[in-house]
Amino acid sequence: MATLLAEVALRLADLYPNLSSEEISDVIISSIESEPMLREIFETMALPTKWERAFAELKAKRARHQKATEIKQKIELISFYERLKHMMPPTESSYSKPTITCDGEVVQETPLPQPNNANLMIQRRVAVRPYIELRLPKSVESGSWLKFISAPALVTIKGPLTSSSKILEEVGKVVKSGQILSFDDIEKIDRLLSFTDDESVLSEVLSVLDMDLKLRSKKFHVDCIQELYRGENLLPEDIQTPRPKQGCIKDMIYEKIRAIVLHEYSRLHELTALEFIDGKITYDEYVNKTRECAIIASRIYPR
Amino acid sequence: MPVGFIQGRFNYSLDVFDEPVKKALEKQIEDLGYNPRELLPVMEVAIEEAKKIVDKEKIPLSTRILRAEIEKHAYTYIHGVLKQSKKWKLARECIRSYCSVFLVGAGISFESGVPLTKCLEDLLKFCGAKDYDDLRIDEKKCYNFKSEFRKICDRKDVGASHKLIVKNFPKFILEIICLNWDNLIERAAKELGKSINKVNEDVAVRDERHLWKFHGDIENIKRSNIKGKGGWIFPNEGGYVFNCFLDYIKRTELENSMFTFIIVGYSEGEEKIYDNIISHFEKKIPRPTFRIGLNLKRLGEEKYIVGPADFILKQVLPIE
Repeated sequence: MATLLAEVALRLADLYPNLSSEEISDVIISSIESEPMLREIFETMALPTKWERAFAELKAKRARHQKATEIKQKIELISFYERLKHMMPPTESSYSKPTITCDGEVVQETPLPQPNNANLMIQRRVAVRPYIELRLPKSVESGSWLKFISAPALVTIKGPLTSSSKILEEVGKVVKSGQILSFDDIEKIDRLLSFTDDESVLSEVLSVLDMDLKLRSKKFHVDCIQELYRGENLLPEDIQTPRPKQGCIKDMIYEKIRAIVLHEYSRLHELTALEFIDGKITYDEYVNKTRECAIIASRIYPR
Repeated sequence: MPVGFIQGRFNYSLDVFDEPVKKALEKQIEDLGYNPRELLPVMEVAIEEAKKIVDKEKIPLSTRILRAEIEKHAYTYIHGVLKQSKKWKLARECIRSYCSVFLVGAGISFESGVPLTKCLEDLLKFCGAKDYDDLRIDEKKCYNFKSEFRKICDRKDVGASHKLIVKNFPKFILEIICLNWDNLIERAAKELGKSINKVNEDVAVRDERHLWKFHGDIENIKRSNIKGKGGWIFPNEGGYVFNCFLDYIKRTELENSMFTFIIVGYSEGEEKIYDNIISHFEKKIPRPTFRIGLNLKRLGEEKYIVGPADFILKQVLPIE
């Protein structure tokens, strides 16, 4: 459920870059209120059959480019919305399935909820909250993007939701400025990877990671990939680090992420250890700090 | 001591990482300018200590990060040990200047493979005893226990630390107080062709410079177990000090003399030992007192030297 909500949120963010994270959060939490955009979505939902969907797509092809993109986006949204609607917890008022008449009019027996229906909105928020709070998918533990979405939806909004291009731009900037990627940057990349299979995006990710590895090798005189597999032959096969399948770009990306996370963890551990050895921090502080570091590294380390 | 197979959290024993971690440490030690072979005992201790930390944390980590965690903790341990050159130097100077009295605990023999108290439970069971009280009541079981322990010790090799202590005795080490039942120091003396006066019963002592064995001796096993008359002191008894030793330090003026007090591999948990010896030597008249042990937590203490005795004694004793 939570993954789906997050998926919808991200998709919304991608399709409607002008939407703030707050607006997107509202979309998720209140599921469907009468904001104009959601009305549009709901209206487009009135295409219940395959034939009608195909017709809409055809209409989109014929329409001017900008309009076509808009319609396509709506169609894409609908499929997400439909899935979401079926998985939403029941509320006092559920909507009837809209139908479309021959002359193209949308007929819906149960009216859309009114924006001023505050009670209903609260009920929905209460109903959705446990799904987000208690059923966090594994992607959250592995540092995936979901936590960035669920957090603003429930707590405070720190910043706008980042789309794939923004993520790439951000992490690209880091390495281009001569800095190495942090755990946060890797988390962002991980977030990006979980919702894209676009080869152009993936190859760009790969080049960012390559740049980071080159920087590390220059700065710290270490071959992180070699370091990743060091001593693996001395371990039982079932706990050895997996090697990437040839030609699989995602595997190659994961290999590089593993190497970076491992190096970053080692580097941070060594820095903390030096602080302890120099007497700047106590042994307990050293153990606690390095433990935290290991937990984060382990969370974002691709399995 | 190997960390056992851990069910639930990992599907494998942490021991699987020993070899790759050792290989990585060897390289890092070389980078620090040391010979990894010389540091083998430090490395082994460091790996075991690192595994204990990781095991204590009870956090499920990914395998590669877990291995790195052990490696890094072990490296911190080694780095910490090697960074104590100032302490070594100070201890060496103190021993050279004032000579020393050594108090030796189980930690030193553990490095040679002699079991520690917590591992003796199995030997107790083997001898049909429930606990140490059972041994005190039942002479037969007690005798069996001592005999079996002797057999175990006979199979162990003398460690570098035992030899170093013997080499420096009596020139730089005036007295050796050994709280262990084993005879590794005596065997080291034999190997080095040196004779050491051993006091393993509470009897009047005339001459000077001794190896004191208050807690029993595998070379003095008797049917009865009477304190001071060859009887062994078991771990839960709070220790024991011979009256003849207390007389000796008075008679020879040792208690008023200046010397460096070195405590090696001893947890200081026995009241009688602490009150009559440690507190007496360290505090009554303040003396330079150094402790050698494996507790990395105490790295910041000026006179606590972290590391295995085999390695540290080599750094601090004048005769190598």
